[in-house]
Amino acid sequence: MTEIGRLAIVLGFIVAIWGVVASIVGGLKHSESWTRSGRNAGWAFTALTTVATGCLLQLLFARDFNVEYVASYSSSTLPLWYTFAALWGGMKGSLLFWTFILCVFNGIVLYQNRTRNQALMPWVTATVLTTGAFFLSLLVFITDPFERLSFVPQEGSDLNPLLQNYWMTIHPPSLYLGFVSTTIPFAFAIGALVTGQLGETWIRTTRRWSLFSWFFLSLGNLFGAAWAYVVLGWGGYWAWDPVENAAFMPWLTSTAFLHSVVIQEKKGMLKVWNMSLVILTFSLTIFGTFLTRSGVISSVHSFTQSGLGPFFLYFLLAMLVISVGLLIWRLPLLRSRNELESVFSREAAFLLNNLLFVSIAFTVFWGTMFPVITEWVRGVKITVGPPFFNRVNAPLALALVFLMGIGPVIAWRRATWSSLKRSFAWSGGFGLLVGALSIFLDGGNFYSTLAFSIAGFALAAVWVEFWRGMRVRQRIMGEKPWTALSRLIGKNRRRYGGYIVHVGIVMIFVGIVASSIFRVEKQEPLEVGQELPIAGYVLRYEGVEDASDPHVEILRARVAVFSDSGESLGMVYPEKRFYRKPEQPTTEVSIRSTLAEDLYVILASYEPGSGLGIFQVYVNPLIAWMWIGGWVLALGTGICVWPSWAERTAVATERAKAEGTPTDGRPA
Amino acid sequence: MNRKSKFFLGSCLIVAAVATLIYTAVQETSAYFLTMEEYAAAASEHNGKSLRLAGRVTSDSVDWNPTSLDLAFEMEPIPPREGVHEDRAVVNLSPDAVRVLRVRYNGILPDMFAEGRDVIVEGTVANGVMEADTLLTTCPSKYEAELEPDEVPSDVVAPSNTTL
Repeated sequence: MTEIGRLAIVLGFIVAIWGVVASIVGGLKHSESWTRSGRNAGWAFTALTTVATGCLLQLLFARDFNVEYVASYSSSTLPLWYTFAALWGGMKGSLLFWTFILCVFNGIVLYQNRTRNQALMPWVTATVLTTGAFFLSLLVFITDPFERLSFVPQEGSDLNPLLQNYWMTIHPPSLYLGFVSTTIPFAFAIGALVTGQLGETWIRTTRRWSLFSWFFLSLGNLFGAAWAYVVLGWGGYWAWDPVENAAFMPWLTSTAFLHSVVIQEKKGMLKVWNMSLVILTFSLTIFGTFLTRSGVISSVHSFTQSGLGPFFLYFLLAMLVISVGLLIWRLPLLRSRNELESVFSREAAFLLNNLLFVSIAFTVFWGTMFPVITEWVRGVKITVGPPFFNRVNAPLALALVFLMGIGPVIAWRRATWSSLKRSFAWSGGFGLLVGALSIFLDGGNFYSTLAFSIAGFALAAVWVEFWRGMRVRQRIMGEKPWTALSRLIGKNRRRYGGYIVHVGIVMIFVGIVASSIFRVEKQEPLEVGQELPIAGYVLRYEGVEDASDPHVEILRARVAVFSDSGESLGMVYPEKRFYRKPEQPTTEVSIRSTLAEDLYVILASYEPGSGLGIFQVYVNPLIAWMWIGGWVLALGTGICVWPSWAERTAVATERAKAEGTPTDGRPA
Repeated sequence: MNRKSKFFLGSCLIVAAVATLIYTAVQETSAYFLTMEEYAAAASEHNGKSLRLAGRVTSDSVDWNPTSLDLAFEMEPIPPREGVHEDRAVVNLSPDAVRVLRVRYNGILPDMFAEGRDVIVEGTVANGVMEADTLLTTCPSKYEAELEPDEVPSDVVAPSNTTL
């Protein structure tokens, strides 16, 4: 099996290189036969990478500990599902998994565009295969996932216990899907730049891929936060760790692109900017991979020590030089059709939104790279921690949510004073109402009052949009409210799906604000039978029990939860676990979650003699809304990407629109 | 003033505001990131400053009170790893330099904390004792796999998990 796998990655590398060469020649000479050869090489790359991935999976499931990767990341007692997750649990496997996802996307792109986008396709294939060849070259020349040991270990050293969690089985794959799929918009951007076909075609094809990648980046980040919250046991979900930042930055630029692309479609503006965002997003995903695999950020801390760092950097530099070079070469073709007319316009709101997103991305980049930068410049490493990121990003995030209440409502081109009044009377009023309510409820914390009223304002703006659209349909088409609502969404899926995403984001925002400002924390040793009051709860420690299984030793504390008034609210069971292989203790949090707040209980330590348990307890208000917001976001994005088979009709309507009807899709 | 310059000016204002935010936040939240060697080479200079120190927990130095969650331990330089190329600046310590630093911390013991492990502490040093408010252990995803230590060449057994 290792031989087949090895052969597959070597051949995969060779055909990828061939595909790049053939596609470029085909593209340059406009030669159908070269292009076809490149396309076939693309298919071969997809097939071979799939075979290699299948081989590694097969080795994992066969528990062939003679293979170094299998021995390092699995064991005979590892549950089946986590054995599957071991595919991306280690560096070599994760690189192969990355390439596998790329090869699947490559297949999809080749199939979707077998008759479409013929001029762009050779360049798209060349770009995708260059990336594929790069990743495969790492596996072929530097870190071979199919390496065998000189002996057969009795047992593998198992997957890291902290990774043995259900979030961990879906968090990395969704991030990978998000990361890798940014390659496709990038490839189309390169194709558009090289061929000079910078019109609507590449944007249309790219749009859905960008949404797709944004969707998985969002979920990946949220799943990561959920994993940190549930597994790491410090009561929080985001620590501004370089690894987290690496996944957050492409999300930010990708969000910026999804907004500014609307301006390009509707107004023919921001073309250079959009192109740059696509290039930037792709670069940031490669940069993120570099960050997490090079150890450059925490070289003493060393998340991972591997010699791969420089290769990622060279690849990144090469791609940047090529793409920025192409962009500069094509600048004359990317001139805007329109100009900004007024500061009070939707265009300006979008522009500001983009500036803010890119500012946040820069802040995160700056904070993450600060030790490296100061070492270059001043010779000393200076770090900034979470307070830095929170301080800088909090006002920027507030401004963004505020814009969320403006952007969807304000008029295109130029808003008049009377239209402003009409647009914002409702949402502004609602925001103020929420603010007043928040003062009443939490005693007037300045930041939370501000944040909640802004959130209310943004939410009301979405509500107003839905309401108006629905009323118009009811009046003009004579439809019933529900029919009107569903048709409204159905007819403008991207727009109203986007609004639903906004609702999800506001929920996440509220969850973050409430849980960071109003968190209550207590730490106390408890004897059996002793009680601990905290923020409206009373916890009673009722002792521990042994819940071990062959895989792991488990010490489980039984804690009864009551409300202030003595009403029983059930039990929580925080645990101390001790994994036998590798020998490592982990702390298992127990959470009692409601829509209003989470009760988060940790068994910090335990004295076997006296039975004394030391507990750390947090009460995190409104945090459940982060996860609910995540699902709302997923729903909204789903609505946006849904009509893939309706593409043909969309193209048709676009043609109709081009004949002069307003492009906004507004019913009024 | 025409529209274009208005927008240009507006953008500049925003960029300037963000830059100011970043600058002030850096001023107030930054900490020196030092290895134990670097710290030991100039210990007195760093008194009272915000520090982020990387070192190794000295064997037999850990004093952990599970009831009060008070932790005290000593930290020493991380010895260079054999066969691994590292770009670390070589620090020449004078023979009588203080090589270990006492660290005090209160809170939950991180799961990965143990003697001989590499840790990062954040806090300030006063009177030769680091009062740490953060204690980080090496990323949980990295640990030495224990196959059959005698038989495995050292370069094979340095797997590093990554979560990304």
